[in-house]
Amino acid sequence: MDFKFTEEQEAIREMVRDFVDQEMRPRAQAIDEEEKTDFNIINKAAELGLMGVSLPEEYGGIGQGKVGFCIFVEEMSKGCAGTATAIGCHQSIGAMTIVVDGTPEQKQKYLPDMAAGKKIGAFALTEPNAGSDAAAIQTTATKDGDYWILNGRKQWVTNGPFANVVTVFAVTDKGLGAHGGVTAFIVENTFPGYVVGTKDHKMGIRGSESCELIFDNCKVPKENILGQFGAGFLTAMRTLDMGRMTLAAGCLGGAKEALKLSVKHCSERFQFGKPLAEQPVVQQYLAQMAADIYSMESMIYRTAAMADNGQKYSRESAICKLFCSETSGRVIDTAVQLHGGLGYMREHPIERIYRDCRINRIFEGTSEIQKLVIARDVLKKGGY
Amino acid sequence: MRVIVLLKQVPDPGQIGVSRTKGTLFEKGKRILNPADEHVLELAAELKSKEQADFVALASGPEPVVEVLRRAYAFGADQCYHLVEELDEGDHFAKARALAGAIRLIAKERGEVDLVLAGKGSPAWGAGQTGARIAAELELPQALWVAKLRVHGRELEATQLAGGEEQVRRVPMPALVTVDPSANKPRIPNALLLMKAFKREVKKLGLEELGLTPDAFAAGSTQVRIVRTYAPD
Ligand SMILES: Cc1cc2nc3c(=O)[nH]c(=O)nc-3n(C[C@H](O)[C@H](O)[C@H](O)COP(=O)(O)OP(=O)(O)OC[C@H]3O[C@@H](n4cnc5c(N)ncnc54)[C@H](O)[C@@H]3O)c2cc1C
Repeated sequence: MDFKFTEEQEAIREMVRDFVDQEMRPRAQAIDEEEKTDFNIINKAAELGLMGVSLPEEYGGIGQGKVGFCIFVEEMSKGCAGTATAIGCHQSIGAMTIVVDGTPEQKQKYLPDMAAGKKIGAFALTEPNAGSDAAAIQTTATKDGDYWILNGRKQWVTNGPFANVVTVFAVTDKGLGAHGGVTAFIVENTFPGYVVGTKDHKMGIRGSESCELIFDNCKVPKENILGQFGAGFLTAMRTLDMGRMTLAAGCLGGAKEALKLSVKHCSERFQFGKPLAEQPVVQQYLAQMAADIYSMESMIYRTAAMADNGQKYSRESAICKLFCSETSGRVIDTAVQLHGGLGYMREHPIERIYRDCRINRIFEGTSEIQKLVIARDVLKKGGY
Repeated sequence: MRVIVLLKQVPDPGQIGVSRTKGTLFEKGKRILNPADEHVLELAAELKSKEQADFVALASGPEPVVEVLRRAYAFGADQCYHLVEELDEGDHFAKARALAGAIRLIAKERGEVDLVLAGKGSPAWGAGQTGARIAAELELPQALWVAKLRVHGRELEATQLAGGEEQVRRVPMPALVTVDPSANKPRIPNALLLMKAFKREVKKLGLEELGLTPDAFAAGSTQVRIVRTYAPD
């Protein structure tokens, strides 16, 4: 067993780190206040090829595979979790549906522009009455000659306000239920009947925008059916396998940033005549944070390597999502504690990081849903 | 226009220890591209886009030196050369002689070289000697610590910083220029170029190809002798 990043992966990490240091971290606090995705950063990322890190080389991407993409998301999430969500969503659940299940024509049509950041991707599954119970979606698609007509509402669609290419899941046969009755469609924001609804106001990751999308007799050409007709749920689940693992990598980045800030603060803050870092209790906290980080890092890259080797990793990515969102939440909470009152002040980045990380236990499947998925697997196999 | 960029791999200043007993430095981590050379790469990349310059990079030293040449490819270099040698790093005379020989060889292979670019200096020995010595070996006019460089036909307009003042001088090409870090802000290389750099071929050169007699590099033939190294108090 050889657990070493390749030179290419190290080089990407270093490059993204430079990008984050120069372009992302210095803007993170302001972006949080503005509550808007910073297109200046997105455009710079696009110029540097960073809008297509996960996409295949033949379609203009960097072809970095899952390990490389996790490195990318981890590093970005250290600097600004909101911007990282916008860029990460575009490439993971946004474009990945097409990579996973697109026809060669669909790939050729959409992926090069997405890899170049000219078109932004999004993923629209959740509806007002279908969150954890995604199978309960009510958006419908009915056939009309060479078109499918979509009607319904999707909510909390990350990148929704400006996305150009959205994978939309709709019921094509109510009688067949989730498996057989739901189809994925590639929907462009220019299609007639595509309406961008109100933008959400969020607790954290405010550099990422989400909104409602309304399909009002939205006309989608039949060649935009993604994957097999009726097998939309499979597309969603396969895409979420990757989404959950990369989300875990984002958690890792947030936790590493929190530890770094904590070490700095505890070394510089004097109470009782010495730095906080000299207090045994504080050291215990720091040690636990480091141990947590090491376990997250280990599982994420092991899982990503499995995925790159073509192994199945649904259970593992659910474990990564559950463990890393919960663990990084704890690490970041400890970091706030170590900063004392300062950690509660808007002026300090750890306050934002704390708000930013809370979403990780909710989107792309809540912790409870991950537990459900993992438990089902364990029960089926009679153990791990 | 053809530009040759000279790159040096140096110990990472954050990863150096000093042995108190031996008075020598030891390296704890991987070597890096001399930080000053990032500015040289940036200038070469700019000349490539503005003047359509052929952008060639050269580095010398043992095998790991190839890594800094990848950085050159990531900045858009057209061809990289690695002069494989294990000369004493403190011997600027021998290094300069070898690099000058390699530049001559590259000129023969690729066509005449108009501009040799080097960094202001490196944190390794901090002597800042190599650029000037190569210019002397090749009998090229030189402009050192250049903060601004313009090309006017076959002539360079080089702005140098000297004692807080700017000196502008015109230098006919071919010439050698060392680049002051104030000249530019190095770009973050494009991720695609960065990845492709790993697949690009680096041409290897050996000392024996340079047409120099072996004793050009033999111990004692150059003018540097290290008497003693010691740790600062
Ligand atoms: C900022 C943000 C961005 C988002 N981006 C996207 C996006 O881009 N695309 C998209 O499609 N969706 C997106 N979502 C939606 C997100 O995936 C859902 O919010 C999430 O799946 C949970 O659904 P819900 O909010 O309806 O909660 P509910 O399903 O109503 O759950 C409420 C609570 O009940 C628990 N619960 C539910 N069912 C069970 C059960 N069977 N057993 C035990 N506990 C249960 C849940 O775990 C949770 O704690 C986003 C959400 C947010 C907040």
